[in-house]
Amino acid sequence: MRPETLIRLYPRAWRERYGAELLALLEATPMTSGVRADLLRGAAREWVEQVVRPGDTACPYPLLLVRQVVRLAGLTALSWCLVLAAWPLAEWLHVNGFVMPGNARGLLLGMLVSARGSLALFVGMQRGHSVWAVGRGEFVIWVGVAFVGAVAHILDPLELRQLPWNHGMNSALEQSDLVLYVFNWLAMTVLGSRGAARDAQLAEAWRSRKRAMKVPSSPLGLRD
Amino acid sequence: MKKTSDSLADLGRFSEPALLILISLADGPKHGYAMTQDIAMVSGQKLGPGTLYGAIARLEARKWIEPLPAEDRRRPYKLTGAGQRVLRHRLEGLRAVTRVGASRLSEG
Repeated sequence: MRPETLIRLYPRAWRERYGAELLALLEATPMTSGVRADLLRGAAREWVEQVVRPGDTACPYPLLLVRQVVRLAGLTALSWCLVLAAWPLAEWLHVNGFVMPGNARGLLLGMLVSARGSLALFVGMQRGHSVWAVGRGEFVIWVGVAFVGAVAHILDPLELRQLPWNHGMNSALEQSDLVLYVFNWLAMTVLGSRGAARDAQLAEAWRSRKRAMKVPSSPLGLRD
Repeated sequence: MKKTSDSLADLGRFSEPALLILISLADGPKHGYAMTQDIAMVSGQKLGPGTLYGAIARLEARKWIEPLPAEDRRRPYKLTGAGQRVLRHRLEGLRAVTRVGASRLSEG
């Protein structure tokens, strides 16, 4: 594989900034298989870096859109996981007398494990997440969440609620489905718009950075 | 607000190449080819072009090095004040580790 071809494997913004310099270096370097492997690894790292830490590199707008879609899918998936996980536990606690009406401790326990309590916890986690994990590994986290959620979505049509240990919860769950949907979509809208605003900022930063780049025309071309 | 890293260790797999680049630029600006030659002479390590420019991109993003006007297609880089501080801090850390290691070896 020729040096120009290998450099074309890098993300376009990276190539526009460093491609000409890298090519000049490659012209003075013997093209061994080790050098080719190093360039392939480098290109892979830059693509991963763009997705995982878009704040550190120039991130193409399409990737921001992908991040947004994955975030929304993750929000839906995680809320469903929490609902499916929390409801049987709430039923079990209730059946075994842990959740007693008028008992503050029981009410608190019920709130913590109920579906709506879980969603509230989820919203809290999201707000915390936006503080401590802005831009760092966010995409990876949401891919993981979306995967777990996908498993939950697959299991749900298999009548997960009909399993023996979930006996008795069906009617209550069906009654609360509408509330859960509304709450879920409300959370998605609020949190999704927060994410969209942040992605819009990143996209603008990317465009500004592109405009600011005054690199001489590259022999590598500027198209992906 | 995004936290800005001030440690070479945060560069992960690029921390060692980044240290070698900072050392190479400590005695003056160099372009990519001159850096690889200097690093090979100083440390005996031959940095691959992809590794070199991966580390350069990260060092530049942290403003530890900065590009100078290109000469032909070769663009020299120079160490910034922040880069000098990071390098000095890292070298002090390595010196302490080296001292402990050497003293333990002499005790054994």
